[in-house]
Amino acid sequence: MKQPGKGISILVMTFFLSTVIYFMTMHSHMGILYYPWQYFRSVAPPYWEQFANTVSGNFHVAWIMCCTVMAWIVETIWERFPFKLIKTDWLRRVTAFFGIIAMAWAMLFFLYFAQELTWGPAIRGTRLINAPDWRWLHVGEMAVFFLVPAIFITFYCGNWPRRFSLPVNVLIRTAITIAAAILLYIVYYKTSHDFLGTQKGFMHESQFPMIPTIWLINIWLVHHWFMDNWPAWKMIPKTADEIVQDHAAEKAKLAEIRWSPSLGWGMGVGAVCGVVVYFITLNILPWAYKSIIIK
Amino acid sequence: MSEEKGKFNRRDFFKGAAMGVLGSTALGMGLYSYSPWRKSHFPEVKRKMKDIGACKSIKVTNISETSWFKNATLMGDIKGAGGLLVNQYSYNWPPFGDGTGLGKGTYEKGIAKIKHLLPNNLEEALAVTERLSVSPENAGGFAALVEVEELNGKKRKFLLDSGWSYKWMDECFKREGIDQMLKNREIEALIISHEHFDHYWGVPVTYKYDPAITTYIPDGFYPEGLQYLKDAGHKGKVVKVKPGLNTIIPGLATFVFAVPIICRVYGEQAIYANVKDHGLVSVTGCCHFGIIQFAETAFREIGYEKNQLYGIYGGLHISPFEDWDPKYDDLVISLGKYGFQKIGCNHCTGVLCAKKFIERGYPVQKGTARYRTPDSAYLGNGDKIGFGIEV
Ligand SMILES: [Fe+2]
Ligand SMILES: [Fe+2]
Repeated sequence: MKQPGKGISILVMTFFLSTVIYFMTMHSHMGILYYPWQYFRSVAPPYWEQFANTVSGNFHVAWIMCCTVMAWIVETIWERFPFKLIKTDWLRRVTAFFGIIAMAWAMLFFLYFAQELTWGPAIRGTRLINAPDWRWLHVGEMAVFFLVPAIFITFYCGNWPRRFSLPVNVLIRTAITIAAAILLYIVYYKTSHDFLGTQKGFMHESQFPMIPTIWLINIWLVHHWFMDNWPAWKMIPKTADEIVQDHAAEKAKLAEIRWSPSLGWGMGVGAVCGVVVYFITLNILPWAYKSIIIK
Repeated sequence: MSEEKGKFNRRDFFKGAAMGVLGSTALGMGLYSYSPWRKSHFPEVKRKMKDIGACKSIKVTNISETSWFKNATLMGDIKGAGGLLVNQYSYNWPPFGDGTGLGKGTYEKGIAKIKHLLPNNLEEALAVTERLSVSPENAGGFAALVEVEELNGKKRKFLLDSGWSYKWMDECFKREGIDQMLKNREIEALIISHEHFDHYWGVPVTYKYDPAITTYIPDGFYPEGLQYLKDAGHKGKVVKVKPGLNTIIPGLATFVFAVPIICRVYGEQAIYANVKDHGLVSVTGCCHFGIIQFAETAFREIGYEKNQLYGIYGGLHISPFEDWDPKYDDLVISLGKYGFQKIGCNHCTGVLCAKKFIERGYPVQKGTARYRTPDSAYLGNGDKIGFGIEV
């Protein structure tokens, strides 16, 4: 299909799909704003009530935010790894789509659990920091903190490091992103009341870190896409030769990742380490929260 | 790059290890984090069962629950002054109006106009205030009289909050005979729930009748609020209650929550009463920390009669501006689980919320909708409620 037909079709299709998603995720939330509830018109109580322990649509805000962040992470610091290892187009696309959603849900559950570990289990019907609806929203807020360093690494650090194999590069960037996100989170909550007019602490009703972080990311996007990082970097178009070289290098990098007994051993050891890291994190979180005082 | 079979290759090993770490961490996050097994990581709740004593009964008289009369006016003022985060002393609301208009006031400029008139010449202070403030006619206030009957039959009185408008509060005090009780020094203490305009700014009305009354305030008042206590003509003892439980007399305690609240206020205190053979009663001003939180806190901290959460009186801060959000439904749905047997809500609970309580079959005490209370769905101005006693 040629432009502009292609662009318009994509736009219309996106609009159609987002309407479907809206009906699936937020329509019940809106329906119960009416008095009495719009029982039939909007599926009330919402179908997620038991699972999410709230009737609030914040539950969906949370995982959709995680999806957004995950999609960007895959696109930036992960260079579309591991999905680009799949050679068949349709299979790669389908796997990437559901894979990103699956990883987003892993993030969703973990960030919710992290709050339970530091602030105790949520109690339905309480307010703000103790309530499930606030906790879900805070999952979304936390997720955006990971997006800031990820985008910075790609836009301003040339996706450092690049010297190791693709999976190792990806792992190192991920670790840096996580560390930087935690640091940013602490700095934000320690200082935001000084420049955003919010009150101290986590639970003010108008404390939405998503707003300043997304605002910052937007500026970076404009700077990167429309200004080519000027003045930090000057754009020199690549020659045809360089482009061919890039493609070859990319192919070589992918070809490098293939089955061998050493790789298998590595995967096994890595998997065990991953589980260990996960459970150590669970035990460190409450302690870390107590030692880092954010007032 | 390729290796002979069976030979260990470090680069391949690290590649695999990186993928393994990423994969299994993600898997752990996804499968374990929201599973029932996660609950083993939560510390066990240990009930402290603190003994606060018991009383025979408690009676609450609603002196006023109408903090303001028109939501639209109040919200319009708040929006015009910059929103819910703005310092309440800057609104230029009564009594701290200085004539400069909405959002431009300060405590210092406002009090300077009326300080010399407090607390004995409130009529003149009112006249000044009506001239210089924004929306003076919209101000009402929240105040309640709490009468505790001790196990030996002795009755003791406490005032919870002192409202907002000098004029309205004086009218309400006279209507319920509070002025005489204060003059006779029958009321032993004034308990201020929090620094909000509608609970605290009317404090000179209490001091007009009894300037020496002991006053309990929650820790966390801003400098303006502390200064107002002096400027309002208070001569008695001030008790700053630290966050946590504080027993006042046998069967009556307050609990201070260190929470940030809209309009730049910090900290709120509310009352627990342990009524013999009935259970625990909570009396709240605004309840910004939430009634479920209050119930959960009681469960963790206090030992009470029959292990029963018995009653509620006061604002529950659910829908003060009659707006709605699904998270309020979470509260409406959950409250039933706590088993309260007598619910006397009003003020910032919201009429809509009271209606939803009634629909779910909760034991909400209806009111009489007199003296400018808009609806009979909840306890209105001049209505009374008893716990362990019929009124
Ligand atoms: Fe309040
Ligand atoms: Fe209030």
